[in-house]
Amino acid sequence: MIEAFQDIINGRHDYARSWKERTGGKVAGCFCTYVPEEMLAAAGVLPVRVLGSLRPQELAEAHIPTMYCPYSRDCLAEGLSGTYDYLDGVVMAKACMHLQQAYECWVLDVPTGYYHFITMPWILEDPESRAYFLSELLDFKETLEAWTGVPLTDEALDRGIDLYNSHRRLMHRLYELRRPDPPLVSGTEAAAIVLSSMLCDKAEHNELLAAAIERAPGRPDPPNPAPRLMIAGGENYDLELPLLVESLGANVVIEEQCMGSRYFWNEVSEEGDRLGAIADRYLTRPPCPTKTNQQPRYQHILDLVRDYGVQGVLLVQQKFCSPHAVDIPDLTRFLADHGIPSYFFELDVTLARGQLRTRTEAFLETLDLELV
Amino acid sequence: MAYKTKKLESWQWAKEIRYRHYQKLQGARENGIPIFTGSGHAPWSIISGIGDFAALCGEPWSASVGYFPELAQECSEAMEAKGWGRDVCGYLKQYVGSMLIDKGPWGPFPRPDYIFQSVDCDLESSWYNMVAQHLDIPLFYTEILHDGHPRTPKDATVQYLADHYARAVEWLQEVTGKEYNDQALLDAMTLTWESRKLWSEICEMQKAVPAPLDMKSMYTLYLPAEIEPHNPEVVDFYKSLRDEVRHRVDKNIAAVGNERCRVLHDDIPPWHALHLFRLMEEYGVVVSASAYVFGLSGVWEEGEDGVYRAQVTPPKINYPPRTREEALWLQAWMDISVVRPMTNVQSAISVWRSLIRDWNCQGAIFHINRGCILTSYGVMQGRKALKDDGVTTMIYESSHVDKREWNETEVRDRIEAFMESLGLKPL
Repeated sequence: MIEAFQDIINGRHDYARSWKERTGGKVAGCFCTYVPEEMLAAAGVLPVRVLGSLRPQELAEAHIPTMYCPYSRDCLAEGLSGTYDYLDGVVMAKACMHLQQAYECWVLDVPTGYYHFITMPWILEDPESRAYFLSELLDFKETLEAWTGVPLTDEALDRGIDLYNSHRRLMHRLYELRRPDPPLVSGTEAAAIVLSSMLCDKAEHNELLAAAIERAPGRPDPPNPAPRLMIAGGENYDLELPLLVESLGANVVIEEQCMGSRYFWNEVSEEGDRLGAIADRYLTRPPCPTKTNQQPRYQHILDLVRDYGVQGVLLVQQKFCSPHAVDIPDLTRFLADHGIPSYFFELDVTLARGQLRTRTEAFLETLDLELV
Repeated sequence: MAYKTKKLESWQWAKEIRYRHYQKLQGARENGIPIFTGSGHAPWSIISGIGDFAALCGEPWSASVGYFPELAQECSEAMEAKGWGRDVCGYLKQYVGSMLIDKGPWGPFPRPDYIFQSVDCDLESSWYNMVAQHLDIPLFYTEILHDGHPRTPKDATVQYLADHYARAVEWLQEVTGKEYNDQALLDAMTLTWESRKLWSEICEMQKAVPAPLDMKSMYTLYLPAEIEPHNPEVVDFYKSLRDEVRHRVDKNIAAVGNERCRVLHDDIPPWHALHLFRLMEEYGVVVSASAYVFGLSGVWEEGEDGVYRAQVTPPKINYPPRTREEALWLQAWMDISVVRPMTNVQSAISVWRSLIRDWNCQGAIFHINRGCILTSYGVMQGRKALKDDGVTTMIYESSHVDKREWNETEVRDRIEAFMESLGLKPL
């Protein structure tokens, strides 16, 4: 079911190069899911999420202290190594200081041409926040127009918004298929689909996605009945994580991560001022833990637990990811207060498979006991 | 060559200001004075508009806890028992840990009544959310945005913070029930600017050879401008200190009599291990510059010529401020400027290059502070830039407050090797 999506992930650099050749367009690396990709798409640019190699590296050591998250250092290392030499630009939307530093070091040492930093407030609800973020989007629009030579008219923005909203609706349809017990789509498959969507042309992804949704109900190899888990927490783009967890007799039925449902969960309103609508979408999406008010996110997690019949939560965090490290003890207590068991696992550049296997097995055993 | 040296006459006054600050804080509840808490560089002058108050300044409180390793460990362990890992922000753990165990360096944790916090890193909102929830007290957030612009902030970024401050004034009236006094704000703002400008002037005099002050002393001397910049006594103190430092420069009075080499140290030091600065003095090395110490309590501009210099007058507004709007704008501009070199790699590199060149430093020491992502931001890239310039550098890893991260032997070895690479032997 997911070969095409996995091909995109595994061949992401070749895909982007070939897309450039095919379309003559520019490719921009994005450092965070707060980058309003629909604006890049509206300008004819292919946004691709900058990822690391998932292999130990030393290139970033001279640039970023080892106390910063391995993901941010891995991303920078890929830039320094020349893996991303096809990028025409990079865009950062300020969220955490880990990725911000990777981006800033990239600007200094990885020649890419176009660089743009969007300041995303930590406070999302205040009237000043919306006005400020809107001014940031206006700045972004101006530099994007100057870089690409494409005027971002209302019609162009509508095309970008429509493309991305179509994708978000399709993703929600896909995620509906994870709600039955057993689900019709596994967690590993869903993770591959979300991740691949960050790496390729959304129009092409929409076609693949629509076909996958059509095929899913009659598939010959659906997931088996098993305890239903949620994965929540920090960045993860290693598909081995859900694969290993599911191989131990669990179904990952939902996740609450930036490289997961946070990426596509809400839409841009198709009415009124376009940039204002885009601003509202990013200010009201499920937030990451750098934001000042986490209550909406906690409620969102609780809603997901209920809607997807979650029986236990695997909390993950990149080693040294300070926003999630501070958040997870509170989130653990919050889940416990609502009778939801959870366990925590720390991620590094490479997955500690043995440890994850042992701990997941133990967690599943405790879940079995609770279910009995 | 040996220089004359002399004990700093202003030293005792600095200690007394600090003592009175904490004495007021510890006695505030008994004396009916409201206690506000927030970051060390929270906009205290804005609170002055509602009258007298005591300030529980987050980072300075945590640094004081960190000075007492046993207490610091107790605070850390209280946090770790509740699930926060060893690598979580050291200051957060000291402060919240101190609150949880109700212990501080001078008695119980001084329970604040209100939180007025300018968020400037990923964790400060979580920090004060914990405090608000634990104590069930009102909280107002503002935020110092990192806008990616080196040298000077965007006008929109300053205005954004000033607009938040304007709403904070309404909040202050609402939660305290007191009428806001604009004249008190204007006076406090003027004093704040004066304190910080004076500190910058003092830091600029560190360019002199021999250096009139050593960094270990400067860690104490910068504090009044951080915790009570709006206090008239603090302005008087800095005037006196400035005059004394000027006299020392005029008379070639050194902080370290055997000064023969000068180095830069950034960022926050391990508060429990300041003796490492004395170790360097055995080699005739004085730590004469620090972006952290200069910037945190000063007002600076990064010139287009790459020179870091004391800001003489505030940009873009009348001075002294004549209206609430002008005062809030000035506070916003200062707050953003303070953290800029810690939140922008290009700014940090530019400042470090200026400190090396203009403050006559021959080497640079960087502390990779596992307990603070803000002050370790840009450090490796900065070190690389200085190395590329031919500057001798060293790094050491530790935590500013968690002594469990401290390895005395390793740091000593590194310092000794660094001294050798500078061509120095113990005197």
